[in-house]
Amino acid sequence: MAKYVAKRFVSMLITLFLVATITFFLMHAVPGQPFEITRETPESVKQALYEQYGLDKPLFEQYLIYMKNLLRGDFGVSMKYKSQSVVGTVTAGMPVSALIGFGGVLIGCLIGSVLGAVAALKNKGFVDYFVIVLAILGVSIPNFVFGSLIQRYFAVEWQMFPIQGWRGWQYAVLPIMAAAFTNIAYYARMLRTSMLDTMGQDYIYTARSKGLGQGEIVRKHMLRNSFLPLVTSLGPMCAGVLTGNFVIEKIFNVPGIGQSMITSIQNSDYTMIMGLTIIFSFISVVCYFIVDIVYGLVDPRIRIAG
Amino acid sequence: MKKQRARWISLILVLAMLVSLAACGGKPADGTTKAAEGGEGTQAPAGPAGGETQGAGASAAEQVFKFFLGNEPATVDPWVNNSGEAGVLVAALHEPMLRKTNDGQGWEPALMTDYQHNDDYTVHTLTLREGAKWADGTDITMDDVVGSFLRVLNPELGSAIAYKYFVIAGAEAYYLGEADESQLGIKAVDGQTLEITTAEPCDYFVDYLTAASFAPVSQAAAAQYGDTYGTDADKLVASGPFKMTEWVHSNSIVLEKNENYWDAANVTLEKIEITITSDSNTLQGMYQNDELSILKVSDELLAQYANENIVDNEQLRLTFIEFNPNTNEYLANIKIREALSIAFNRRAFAEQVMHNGDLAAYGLVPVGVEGLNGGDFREQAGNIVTDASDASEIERANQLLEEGLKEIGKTKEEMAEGFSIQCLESGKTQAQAIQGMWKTNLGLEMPVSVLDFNVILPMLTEGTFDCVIGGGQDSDYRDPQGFMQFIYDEGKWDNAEFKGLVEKAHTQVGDERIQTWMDIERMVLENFIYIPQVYATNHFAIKSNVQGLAIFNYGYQFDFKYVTITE
Repeated sequence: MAKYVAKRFVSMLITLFLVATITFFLMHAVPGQPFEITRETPESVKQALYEQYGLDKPLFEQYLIYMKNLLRGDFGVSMKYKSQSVVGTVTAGMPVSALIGFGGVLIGCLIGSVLGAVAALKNKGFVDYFVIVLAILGVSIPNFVFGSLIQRYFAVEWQMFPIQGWRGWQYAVLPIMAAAFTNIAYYARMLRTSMLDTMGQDYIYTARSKGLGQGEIVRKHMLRNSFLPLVTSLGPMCAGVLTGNFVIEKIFNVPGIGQSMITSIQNSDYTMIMGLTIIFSFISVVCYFIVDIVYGLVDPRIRIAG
Repeated sequence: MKKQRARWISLILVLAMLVSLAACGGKPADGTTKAAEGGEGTQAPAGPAGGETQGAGASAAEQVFKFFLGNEPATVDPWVNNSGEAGVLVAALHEPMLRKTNDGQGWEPALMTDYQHNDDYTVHTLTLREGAKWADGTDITMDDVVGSFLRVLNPELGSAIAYKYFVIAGAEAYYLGEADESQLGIKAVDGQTLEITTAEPCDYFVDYLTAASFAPVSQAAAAQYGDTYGTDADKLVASGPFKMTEWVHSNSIVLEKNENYWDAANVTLEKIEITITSDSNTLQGMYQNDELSILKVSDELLAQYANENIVDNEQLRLTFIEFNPNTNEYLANIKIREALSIAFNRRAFAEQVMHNGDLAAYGLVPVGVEGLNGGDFREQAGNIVTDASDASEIERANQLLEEGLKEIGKTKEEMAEGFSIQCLESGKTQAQAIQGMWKTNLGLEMPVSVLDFNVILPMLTEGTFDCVIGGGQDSDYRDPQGFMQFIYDEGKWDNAEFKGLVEKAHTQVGDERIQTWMDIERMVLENFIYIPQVYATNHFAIKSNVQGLAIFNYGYQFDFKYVTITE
């Protein structure tokens, strides 16, 4: 196990290094600069600005400087919003995004799993059709439509929750609802398919012929096996949760991390793009790593060797 | 029993689907009916259930103004900020030297109590208010004023608007390190008297003095925070009617009354709550529920807000089509350029795109800029270009096109393949409308290509574009120069007569100068490189309990100083 972890750690470092390098050069290949230049900006001012931001140096030198700072753990400060450091932005925005994201996943996973399981057990019954329709709706209605819709009714028309902002628990309800919606559909559909698949397996017949009760079969044999694909999907899902949801954050004006990435790209905010990319990649890699281990716990057949 | 339940649930499902479908397609229709229902009573559409979200309700006279920004301001440092939107905050927090009067026409004393200039408008003398204080209670001194200029002209500050101060004598040389402080046109004659010398006669200099960008900052704070001054609520010291008490980045800002403001007695507003969001559905919902005092209404939504108190704000801003005669063989021909200009029906375009035909632009300088004898420049200069809104002109356009094509030995088909119409995503509808007009009137269909701003900008400055639609020019000061100087500065038009005229204008003052700019405008327009499209306008829905809000058409857009909330 220790050897496996060490191996994964090294490959993780290589991945991050590659991500950082590729992002750095790609980002500089896109036209634009972190400060605003208009048609009226004279050459002398442009020149001074490039020097001030260190962008007059050869690209490779800029790259070396960035990497050197990175090794010292210095992600730098946003080039556009000069009082906002990369680390500060992440520590301020990520918990907010995580709350909404995990809230959405948790609710989605719970409701979705129950619906999916019932749908599979009552195959071709009412709940089944309900889940199928729900899944289609969940996948086909984009977040910005559903988000705006619940905002319109729950906040503007009925005034049950605030329209936007982030000043207390009631501000989290609608964003979480919006985030949960897609997840419910996603998990319901996934568990239904997975359960139906499991139900046809030989070991279920074995269990039945052994004389086990329906409840026990479902609990011990069906659910456990059906949850496997769900666990696989949890890894990237968690990474996605931590990196925020731009659309939901924008609609409900939630100060999460999802907006930071998009705005930093729009602003050519080099330090912010680099910092967020590296941190996001790190989270992704770690999440996949954890999933690999959890996978083993759920399914002893693929327990990691070594 | 079971069947019945199933039927119920399926009914709910069908309803859910219908609702979501309605959300996809029917938004505008939904809104229109709402405004109609509201009728006279739209001011209080919230109904009795109001209490939950925002505790306002009963005490309507609570002095809180609820405002919005579309984007997170990078800074509220007057000397660094280059966002027009954030300029509003800058002016609320930092007292300008002079303040625009609420009608936007004149000025009133602010940080400076008096403004005098010499006859040729090169030396401008200002008197600093005695006893004016920063929000932290310290005095605003002449050192703060002079220091603010020295700070922005130091390249280390990294201000992208440093060039705007080059209007001051010696400023550019100082910025480049080629001159010292003694050669700079900023002098403290004594503790209360400031003398600014401009590089050339400048009879519109008062518009600089009322600008947010000329509001001094505390030198103690500037030294402490460096280039991060104004980037956080605790990294600035206010001098204006309001101070900043909270800034949740990319989310919200709170301004509160500044008790140390010199004119605090005349400020009734206690608080300004600012929401930072660009989501128009969110903003509309907030306005409906009285969580916003003002809403920007786009041209498309204007009908929906017909029953609201709408203020039209004609901006000093022009949009134009720009042709490149230097690299494109078709556009190098002046007859072809003129044909294209005529075939573009501005009136129809303004009606189609902006729902207001009167905004069609037949000159470069918008209405509202001073002309000869204090009149209006546009009225005096009149409509300079003609177009297809006069049907007989279409024939002339076709004739010009034919002649032009003959001169260069090309056909219409070749021309349609010869270049594309370039625009930003935001200008796509405009470009398509113009594309359609050229097709109907001239039988030419050029393709439209949408480009990113960062791609189009270097194409424009380096002259590698063909035909850009939707480019714009606005001016920080109400003077014809602001709408034409950029043509000279970019230097793409190498014409001795034009250059000579611009240089002449810079040595003149008063009506002489205005007359020269009128000549320049005619000359530029008759060359058909800059084809005026429309003058820009904004619409704002404002709650009826808001009094005294000033809305300006140049520089910073709103002044909150005299706002009161009634009822």
